Amino acid sequence: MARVGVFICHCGENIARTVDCARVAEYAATLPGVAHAVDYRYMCSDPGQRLIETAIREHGLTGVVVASCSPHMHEVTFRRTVARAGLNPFLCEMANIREQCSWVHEDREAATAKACELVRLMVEKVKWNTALEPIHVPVTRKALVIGGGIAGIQAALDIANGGREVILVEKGPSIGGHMAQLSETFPTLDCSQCIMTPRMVEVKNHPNITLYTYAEVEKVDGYIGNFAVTIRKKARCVDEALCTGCGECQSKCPQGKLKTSVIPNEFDLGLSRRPAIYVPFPQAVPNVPVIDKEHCRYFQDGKCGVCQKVCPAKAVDFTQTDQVVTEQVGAIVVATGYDVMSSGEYGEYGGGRYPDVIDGLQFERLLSASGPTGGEVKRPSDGKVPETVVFIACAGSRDRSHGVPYCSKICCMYTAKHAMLYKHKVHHGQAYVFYMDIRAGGKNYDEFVRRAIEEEGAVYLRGRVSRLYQKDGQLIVKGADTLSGQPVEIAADLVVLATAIQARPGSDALAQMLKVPYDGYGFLSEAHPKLRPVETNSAGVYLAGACQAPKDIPETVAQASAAASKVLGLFSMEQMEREPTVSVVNERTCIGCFDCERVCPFGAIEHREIRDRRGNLLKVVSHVNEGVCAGCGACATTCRSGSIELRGYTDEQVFAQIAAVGV
Amino acid sequence: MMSDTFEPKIVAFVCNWCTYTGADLAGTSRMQYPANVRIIKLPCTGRISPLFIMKALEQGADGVLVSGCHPGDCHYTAGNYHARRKYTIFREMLHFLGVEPERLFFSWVSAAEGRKWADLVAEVTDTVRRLGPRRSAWGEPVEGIAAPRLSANPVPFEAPAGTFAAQAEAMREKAKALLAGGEVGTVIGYEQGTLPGTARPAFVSTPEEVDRLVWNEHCHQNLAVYAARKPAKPGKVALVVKPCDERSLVGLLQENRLAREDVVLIGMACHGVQSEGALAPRCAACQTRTPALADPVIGEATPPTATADPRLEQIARIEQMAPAERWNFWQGHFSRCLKCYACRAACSLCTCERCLAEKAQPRWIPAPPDGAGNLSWHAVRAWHLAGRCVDCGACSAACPADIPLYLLNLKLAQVVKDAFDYEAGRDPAAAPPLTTYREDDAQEFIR
Amino acid sequence: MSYAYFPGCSQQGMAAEFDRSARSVCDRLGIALSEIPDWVCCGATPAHATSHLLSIALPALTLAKVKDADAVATVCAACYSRLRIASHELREDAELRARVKEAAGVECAGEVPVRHLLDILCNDLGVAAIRERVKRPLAGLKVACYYGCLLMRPPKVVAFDDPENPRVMDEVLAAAGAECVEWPYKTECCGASLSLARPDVVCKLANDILREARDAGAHVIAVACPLCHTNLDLRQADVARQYGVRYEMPVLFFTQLLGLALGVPEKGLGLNRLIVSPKPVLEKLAAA
Repeated sequence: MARVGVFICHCGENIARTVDCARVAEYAATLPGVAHAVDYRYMCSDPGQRLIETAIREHGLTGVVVASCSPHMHEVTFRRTVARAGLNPFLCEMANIREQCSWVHEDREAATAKACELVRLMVEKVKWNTALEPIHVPVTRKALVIGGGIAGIQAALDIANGGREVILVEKGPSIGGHMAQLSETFPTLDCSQCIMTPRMVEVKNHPNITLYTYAEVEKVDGYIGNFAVTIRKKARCVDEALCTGCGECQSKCPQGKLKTSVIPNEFDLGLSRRPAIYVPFPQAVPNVPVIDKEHCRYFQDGKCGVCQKVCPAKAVDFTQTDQVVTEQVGAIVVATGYDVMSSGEYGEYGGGRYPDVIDGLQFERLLSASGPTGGEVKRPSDGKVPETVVFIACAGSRDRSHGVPYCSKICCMYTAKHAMLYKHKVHHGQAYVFYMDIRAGGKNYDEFVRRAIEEEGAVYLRGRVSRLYQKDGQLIVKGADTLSGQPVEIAADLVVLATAIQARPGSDALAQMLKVPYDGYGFLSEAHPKLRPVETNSAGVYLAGACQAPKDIPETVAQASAAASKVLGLFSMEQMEREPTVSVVNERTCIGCFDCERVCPFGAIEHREIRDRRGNLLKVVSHVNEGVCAGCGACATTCRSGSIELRGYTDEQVFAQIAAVGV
Repeated sequence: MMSDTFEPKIVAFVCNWCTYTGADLAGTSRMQYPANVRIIKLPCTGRISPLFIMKALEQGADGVLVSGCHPGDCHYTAGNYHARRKYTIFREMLHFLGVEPERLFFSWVSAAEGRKWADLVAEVTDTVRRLGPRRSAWGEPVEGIAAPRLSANPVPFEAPAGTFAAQAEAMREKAKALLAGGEVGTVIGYEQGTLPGTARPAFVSTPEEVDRLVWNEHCHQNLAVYAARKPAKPGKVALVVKPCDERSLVGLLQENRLAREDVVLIGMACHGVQSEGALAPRCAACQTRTPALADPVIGEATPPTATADPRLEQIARIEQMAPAERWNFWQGHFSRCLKCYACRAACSLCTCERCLAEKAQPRWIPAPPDGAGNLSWHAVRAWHLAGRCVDCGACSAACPADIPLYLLNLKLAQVVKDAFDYEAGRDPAAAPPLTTYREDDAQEFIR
Repeated sequence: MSYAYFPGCSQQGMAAEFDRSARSVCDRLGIALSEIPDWVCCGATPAHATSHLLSIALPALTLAKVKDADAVATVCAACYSRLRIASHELREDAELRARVKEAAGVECAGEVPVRHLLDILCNDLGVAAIRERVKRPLAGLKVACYYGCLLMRPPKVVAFDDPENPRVMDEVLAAAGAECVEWPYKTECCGASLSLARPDVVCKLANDILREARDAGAHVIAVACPLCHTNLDLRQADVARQYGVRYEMPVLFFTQLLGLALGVPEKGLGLNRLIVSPKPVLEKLAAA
């Protein structure tokens, strides 16, 4: 038998001015199932709350309706109040007679009548409320970070320093990502390697971090707090435990003679060559080489084997095979970074045919002291120092015809940086920058660009380059200067294209593995563009860095720390507590059509086998994973047989409210 | 016209995150609007079932307002996209049944749009006030307006001579082979019916019994209705199917009711079926005379005619009627409904173990065969079949009260085709239209 | 394959040698050209610059007459562009088809593909077949293949090769024994119909083209468009006056060069209609 308590709040004058609260309380007392109805000046105050608590105990109330402000204001308050009195908090509902009644209607009669009805609706609903307990999901308090660039490194360090174990998986032979390829970073012109390598070393030495390099995530099962991840550690053919990083193997590899090697060095983006056994860059972490089997003579022809012979630590092991491991983790941070569009994409800019038309990342390698030219700016075709360099911004970005309508965010800044660094190295050189707009919105960013223009003398031309072509050993660049209204033709020795930042190939496959939505460009989607930038729709999977969208290093680091904080929040307790207003399936009536699975935005529907006592399969029905369900109710609406209910908003509850309108 | 004292009762179903908050903002900003709206809060428009709308109208609401987050902003990312598709179909259905479209409002109101909320409520209240109270109780005819009749022009039935006999022979051969070889335990086909000029379903499980099986212009039943049920005899089932019946199979496959390997399909190239001595109207415009999934396909189909579907003309005539007339048309038909549920039993896609009509708590569909109960039943049945009905005609043929159920189903199939470019029963791998969405789905009806 | 041939107006007038040499070449190569009966002007620039409907209706009038052909063949770049674009739009736009039917009284849905002769030579016949039939290879002749702007743009509708760096003409003429030079002005605009309104602009653009062809070492320029031809050949004298440079660079239609290689007699190629005579170059080659 229902014994509902109704509490009408005056909210001072806010409600009482237009709603006759005493009359509403009188009316409420007449409703079937209402055991107690009072009005009071300030329900949310201490005495007001005590009023409720006392009433619950004295009248043995089975449900409470507080008619006052919006539940967005005080639902939590009043639910705590009733809990203190021993009543399940989900047996307390609020009728909004302030924001949606007293404040928007002047007519006292109409407002009071409406308040009475709103109370009636809620009383009828609450009679169908059931006690709900928070859902506890156990959490494995270990995190997986996919990607060892600055985003992954930052996230891993933050989580590890927060006292939790982290597994960091990096596809390449070393962590460091693109940041390791940069020479100096804007706006400070810090040496990229210098600020990064301490972090890389910290990752390697951190007791809470397990580093898997040259490894890839193959499969992800499970859900938040309870992921099972399969990781393939590819065979380096070098024993990490024995290798001392002396580098003998690399220097003795016959494929490694610079003049004869055919193997393009990926780290230098094809501007130099490398041996078949190699470490990508000198500060690599771990400083253990890998053997590129596709180009290694031992693996291709069965010849050579020099590296094994010369290795003093006997670390080279041609028989090494891939190792597959499974790890149990509670949260996953995706930090797989970005790619740059190839400069060959633009037919107008040579279509990849001119060696002296390069992209921004290649120019970084030329500037870099550890790069193919030892930090001297020498052009790829003939090693000449370029006297005139043309930088073309927006080469690929903001261009629908190349499928990239978005802005790549970092190019204006790095182009200014390139112009500056070029001038630092080639004092008599002249830099030209063709730009559309200058996007320098960060701290000290605009000042940085002004420096390039005013102090380093870079000539900024507002206009696009229609095309460029090679003539007499130079690149003739034909563009426009819209500010002066003139076409411009520049004979350049080197052209640097700020090509678009793109998602890495395979980002869609990874997203599918993690059940994370991604956009048409391959960037992984955040749960909400403003308010939830590091979470995804897949509970327990977080995003950090450029895999979500192009961004610079400060933003990447901030986002990585944010993701780490989400992970640490999740890990703050052994069990995750979730609101119980989730869906539940009536397994008896469910026929397993799985339309619910199709509509669930969160992938919370699982298949459950129903077997008889002998183990025969009777049917496969839907089952809601309470750890993942977000409580939207799309499943309940879709289910034709009414076999799914959303707790807190069941059909009975809503039906009761609708029926109450008609009275 | 309307008396000045009529104050409409408007029920508003709103989502918690956007519209409810927007309404709160209107309150905080002290924007004034009429007091006729009663808000019922749900977490998301994805939870705002069309059944709520129907129930609100049934319970006496003069107008219903549904509002949620703008597409792309849903707190649960996709709830409103799914809701949008549902409302697209449901409002067309209610309109077809005779509910004035001006009584139903759909809007996207964000948490920042307090002004929009206030203006919307004022507009809704004003519009519904001018329309007047819901003319009658749910399911009751309107006084003084006659229920019009629709007639159909029969198309003669034609099939090349001897065709049926040859196909029947081949079909029996195949059935015998399947049974004798042990591939299937039961063949479900047609046999001579009780009355001359009729056929009825037959269940044979030995090669000897196969001789009972027939194939002719009276084989109108959709045998796919037995496909998802466990047969009495052990072993797989073979089904004799026409192309329309096969489309039911496609639907059953989409809904995991059976696996393809569980059933052998003996496909019959079709010449249409006879109804009241003429070609059944649904066969007149049928363009798929040859089954696509079945193996084998027996016979050569009579090519489709270029005839327009006569039933579309009937639908057009209903659509030309004013709402009150439409309402009476349907109430006139539904009043004969006995709640025998033969339509449900005959429909191969009705496979729920516990039908919503049997759910007592809450009682969405009143049980008695009165105006309210019948209207709710047929509305929900048609709604549940939207995007799924393959136009096999079984429901209309089974109805002892001659209710033109096909009109309602066909109308909704049209709506689904126009809005979502989807036809039921074509592709087993396709996602059913109400379980998927496109970001650019039409929404002209949503403010 | 059978081709419905659309000569185009220029090929009856100023560029008659283009038509003549094209027919001769196709005859030699066994490409069956069947002239579309009662064809009309494609509209060229005057149509598309003033009325979209007119620019589609005019080609539609001709295309509607094409029956039993695998493709429509054109030689003039502008005719190719207009016919192909019209065909594409008619195929995609039912409303446009209806308007054209109302305006011009013809029904055309762009079913028959519109192809340029270079496309047909390279992709249907194949350069190997051309090479086989070459009688007098253009050995030692350095050709700058000039494509102009219309042949490959807009790329999604008309291109049959890389719009930024096309190679079809180069391959066809290489099969004829010529040495096609790499040069950066393959697709730079010649000024087109500004030839009438702003000849000074045309002279500047033509000068750039001629200069780059010369600097790349070309003996002759090969073209596929009568207007390009006019701007580069007819206007060379004006260029000389404006820029003080006498290029003496013969500009031939690619079909004329191909015809020479296939052994078509000079009368069948209309070489005498060229303003800048190719004779000195050809004689020097023959002597070498």
